[in-house]
Amino acid sequence: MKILNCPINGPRPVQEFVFGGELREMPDPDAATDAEWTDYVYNRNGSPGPRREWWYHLASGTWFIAERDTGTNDVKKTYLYGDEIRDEVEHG
Amino acid sequence: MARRLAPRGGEWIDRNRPLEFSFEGKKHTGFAGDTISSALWASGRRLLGRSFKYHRPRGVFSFADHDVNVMVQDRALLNIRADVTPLEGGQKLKAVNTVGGLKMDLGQVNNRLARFLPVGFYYKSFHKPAKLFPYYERLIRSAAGLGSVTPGEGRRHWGKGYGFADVLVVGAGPSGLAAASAAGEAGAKVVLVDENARPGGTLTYAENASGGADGMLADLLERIENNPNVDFRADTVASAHFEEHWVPLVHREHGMTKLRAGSVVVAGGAMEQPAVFRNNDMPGVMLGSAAQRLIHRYAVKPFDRGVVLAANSDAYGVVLDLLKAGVEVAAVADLRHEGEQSELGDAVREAGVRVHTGHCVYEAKAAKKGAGVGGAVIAPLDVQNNAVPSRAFEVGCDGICMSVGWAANAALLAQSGCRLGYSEDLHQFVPAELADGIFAAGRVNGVYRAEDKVRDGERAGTLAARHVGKGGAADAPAEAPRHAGPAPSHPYPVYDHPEGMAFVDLDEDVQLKDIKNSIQEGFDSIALVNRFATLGMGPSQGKHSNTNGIRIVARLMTKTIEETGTITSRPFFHPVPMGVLAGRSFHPARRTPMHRRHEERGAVFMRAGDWFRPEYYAAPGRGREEAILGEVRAVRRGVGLIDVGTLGKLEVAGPDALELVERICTGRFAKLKVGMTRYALMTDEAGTITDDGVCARLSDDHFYLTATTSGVDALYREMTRWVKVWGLDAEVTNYSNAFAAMNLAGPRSRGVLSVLTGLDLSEEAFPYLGVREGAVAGVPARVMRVGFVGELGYEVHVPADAGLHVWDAFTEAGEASGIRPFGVEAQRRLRLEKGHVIVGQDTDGLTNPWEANLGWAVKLDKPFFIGQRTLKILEKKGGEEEQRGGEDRRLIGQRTGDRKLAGFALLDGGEGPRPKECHLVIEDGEIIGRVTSIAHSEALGKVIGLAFLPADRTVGSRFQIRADGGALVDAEVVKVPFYDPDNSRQKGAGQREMTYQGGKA
Amino acid sequence: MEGAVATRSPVHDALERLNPAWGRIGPTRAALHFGDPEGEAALKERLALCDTSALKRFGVKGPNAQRWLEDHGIGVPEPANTWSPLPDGQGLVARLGRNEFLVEDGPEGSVTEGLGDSLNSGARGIYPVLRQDAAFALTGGRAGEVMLQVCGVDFGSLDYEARPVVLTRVAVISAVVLPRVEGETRTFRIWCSSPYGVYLWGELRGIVEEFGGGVVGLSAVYGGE
Repeated sequence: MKILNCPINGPRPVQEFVFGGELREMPDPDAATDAEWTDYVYNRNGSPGPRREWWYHLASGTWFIAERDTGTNDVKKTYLYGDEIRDEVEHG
Repeated sequence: MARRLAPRGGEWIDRNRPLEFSFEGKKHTGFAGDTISSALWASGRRLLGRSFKYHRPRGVFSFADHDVNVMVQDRALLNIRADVTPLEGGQKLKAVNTVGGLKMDLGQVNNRLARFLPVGFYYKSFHKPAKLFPYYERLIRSAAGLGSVTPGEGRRHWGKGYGFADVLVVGAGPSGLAAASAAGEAGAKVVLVDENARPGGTLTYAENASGGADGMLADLLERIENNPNVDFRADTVASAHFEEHWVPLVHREHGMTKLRAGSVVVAGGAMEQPAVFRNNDMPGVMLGSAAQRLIHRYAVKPFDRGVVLAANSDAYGVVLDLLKAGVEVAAVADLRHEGEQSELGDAVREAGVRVHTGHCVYEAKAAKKGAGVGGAVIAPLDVQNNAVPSRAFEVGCDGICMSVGWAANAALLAQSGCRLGYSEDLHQFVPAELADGIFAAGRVNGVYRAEDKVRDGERAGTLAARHVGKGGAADAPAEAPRHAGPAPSHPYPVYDHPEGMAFVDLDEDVQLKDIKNSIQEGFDSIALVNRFATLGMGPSQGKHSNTNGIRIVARLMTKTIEETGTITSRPFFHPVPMGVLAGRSFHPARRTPMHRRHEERGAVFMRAGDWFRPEYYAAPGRGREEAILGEVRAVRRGVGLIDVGTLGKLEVAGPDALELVERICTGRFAKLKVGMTRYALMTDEAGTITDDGVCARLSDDHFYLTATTSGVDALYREMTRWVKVWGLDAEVTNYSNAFAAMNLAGPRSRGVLSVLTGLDLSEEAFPYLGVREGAVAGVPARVMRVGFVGELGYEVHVPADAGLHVWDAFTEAGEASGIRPFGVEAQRRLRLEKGHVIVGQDTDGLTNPWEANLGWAVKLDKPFFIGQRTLKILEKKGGEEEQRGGEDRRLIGQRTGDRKLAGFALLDGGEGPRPKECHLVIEDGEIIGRVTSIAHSEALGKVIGLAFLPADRTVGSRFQIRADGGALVDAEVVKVPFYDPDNSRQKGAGQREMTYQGGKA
Repeated sequence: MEGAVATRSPVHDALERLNPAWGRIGPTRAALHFGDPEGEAALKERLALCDTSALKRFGVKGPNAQRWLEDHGIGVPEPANTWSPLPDGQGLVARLGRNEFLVEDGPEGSVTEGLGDSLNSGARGIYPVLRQDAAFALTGGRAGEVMLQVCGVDFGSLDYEARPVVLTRVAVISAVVLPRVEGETRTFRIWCSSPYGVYLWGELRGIVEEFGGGVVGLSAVYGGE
């Protein structure tokens, strides 16, 4: 069973976590066209490769980001969603 | 005991402890330390089982749990593999898969009908004529399966625990023992496992091949015993390898340990492989190592007069062991033209044994009496390794040993992602590329000489310890010693026979010609042959059959072994009982603090998620329906009390609390006054309803949000995530488990509550939808006026540890008013009479607010909320639909999901068949909707419900619901709320109590 | 929460069936022993399970929670997921994650008294967390083996000097575990939400008895009362 490293609680079996989807920036609802908005709601990038994902540790209520390669299932690193990330996502 | 030998050093049996047991109704005696098969073989029995398909007589074959010839049942205990299961006194054993007993097995007829039962015959028969299928099914069911289940036999609970180790070493043969020692000496915490009762592997039965085995074994064991870092577990199978070195260790008695290791050394050895020739499955035909185990571990003489089929030096060790055990070795047939050139070969020739080089065993002949082999037909081989039957000769014997090769026990390597390659030097698969943290040593790694195995083990153990940061920079070569000398395996010990019965897989009775036929039928890859011919699909999962199978397919397809590939290795290595996997079967359950009162009151419980909730309270002399009706009446007429502690409850506080609520809910809350509540609806980004509840404002920046029992955990997660993403200064706390809650509902509820609280309950001071904080029954509480069931009602929330006290206080205070507890079912009916929607029951994974008539709770002109942008698109689309109109409207409605929840009533007064939730609405043979809720309403004297229907259906229009059995039931659309349409009762209309038009409570 | 209202442990009924000698901790009934206090003290060293739900607790979280506690005379440990004892040696304060704190009084402690009322002034950056726990103590030389049956954390490899607190799953439900080692004796304090109390007590007790242990009262775990 896979081990995920929670930034606050340390390495734990994946059963202790809930997957929260890929880290994505919400487009500005007022500026986006209907097509752009629908794409955001329904479409995901399913090709294998490195992704930044939301993960949640159930026992402690900790949300964090994992960089995981969806092809090999290797997790490169995990960290809390913090200011650096917010800036990165906003600046694309 | 006909075949028991004199005591010998190192034997595994304890002759001071005889054990009595019975097999097929006859009494036998064995010793502690015997396996069931060794005791039976010692007694002279050779017919020990019947094969799966043809019911052929079978005996000991691999004697290593690599075949299931001998499967027995001990009363209610099934799936006993007798070769490796310890004998116990008092066992009453029967062979499985026989009709009328082992000896007289009527299933034998299958053997004679064999040519009508070719490979895959069941795919092509038994389906015509179709009406005979029930008969065929019974026949097949009783023919299939191995053993019979005893229904009513109690469940055995196994423990199942976690375990941790730095290094796991699988296999305690010479290389495993050496690996464990090396890793332990480097400071790693080592767990060493072996499936046998004792450690030592080949050192416990193949003395001659290893040379000086006793001394080597003693030394290796001493190193382990003196090392406190090494934890050795016998009778333990490393059953599989999962991600991050997660390995289930299954012990015969103690169940499973889920072990997490830092690194793994696979030293599982090699599995001896059979030769394929006609009747190679007869009792008495066995692998060389099987004979050696019988002799060395259990002091059992395998047979009196034997023929040994050889293709490596192990075979010659077998010959010497047989001679020492008093067996007459009538002949050795060596597949190799050059024979055996080693010291072992010399010793055999010096002993006077006839050795026929370049010969094979072409056929085993049955004995004249009894079941089992009576002779071997030996034939010479031409230079292409083909048998020449015209020059064959027969040798009388009652046993044939095959020692023609080995297959790496590489299941765990394959499962861990290692790449295996086929070595032409060894004629065996060996690891080509190991996965991270995996090491291999010994025969599984292609290392066959005893001293080499120990060095290879030390190498692997050192590397494994280093992988977890233990041990210094001690030198350890990365590569195993290369094999020198003749190959330990023959590349193709397969000899066809025109009359067939040359078995490749004994579990499934797969013959050589079945593989040929499969390929002819177009199943021309190893994966397809595996499935079509069931090669390797039996309980042994190909341990004795995959290697020959791959060789045969490769040759028939004229491909190399590497090109042909292998059959995917799957957990578990040996069969594991379902009970072991289930372990303790944890089933979490939540109970409210009032649970005991519900029990005392006769509650019939249901599960809502993992909560226990009273569905209704059983009343003596009354059935379920009557009891529920009584509860409904109590609420409508007087006052009822329901435990709603399972409700989701979220505390939202902080300077940005309002902002958070505004963005999560569809409605507007900025102007919600402190001390008031408002219905709250939540949607996801697709505009689908995810949850609903009540939002109470306790102060400017403090909200108390309720949600559905099953939705609150996800809602809490999403809210805490959004808080982070939006950078809001707000805190959400999940109080679902921390607060008990109960609903006091009915025209007399105000009176009852007033007894227990000092809060001003007058209409002016505490209006409908208000929330107040104050003491109830002496406990700090939050009290909300709610209208879910359509009566004057108060929902009281208190800390959980005071819940029972407050419930009891209400029960006492309400006695004079006839207070009664009511359950989930009554509550559902009450709310249905009001047409109130239950999220998750009346809504599904696609329902948007308009479809559920909740558009009034959606304020699209707010700055922002989750789902808003999508709902704006949907609203626009709805407008476009209106414009299109025409007869196609219904079809268009179906495509774009233009449906709405409508209230309905059945037209038959509830006399006819009663539709259920999820029954479909059918019109002109098309599905146009479905029922989401339905129940009989006493207040209205009708069966009412909610259903999804096309949006254009107006009040009064009729439709039909298809109930169980296909009956179409008539219904008509009715306005909601069905009961008290002005909602005056829940609003506590004036001083005059509305009268309830129902029956007696 | 003071006053006449009697509160109960979530496993009160299960304890009642064992005929305890009842005492009180504040408004809550607590099982002190089950008729053999000396036997229980010995059992506690081997393998025992005790219901500690009746102890008084207080919870708080938020960016200013630490300062607020310190202002009220309660020192807290710095690193996330650690604990420290209260001055009386029996109570404790645990830091759950980064910004949440659980303060638990020993049977005779009173640190938590009045903290709740102090907090209701709506101070900035501090949020009360109502504690409604089922709480147990699992003790003895074999306690680690019992934990291996219900929890996948390697307690053997923790650095006990650091006084770790572990937020994990025990028998499939979320729980807080505080492991301690004192010589040969291991103790695991376990907290879970009170609705799960009956379930978790039942599972733990079953395994404890299977391994030859038994139920003890608070006196065994906290010394004489």
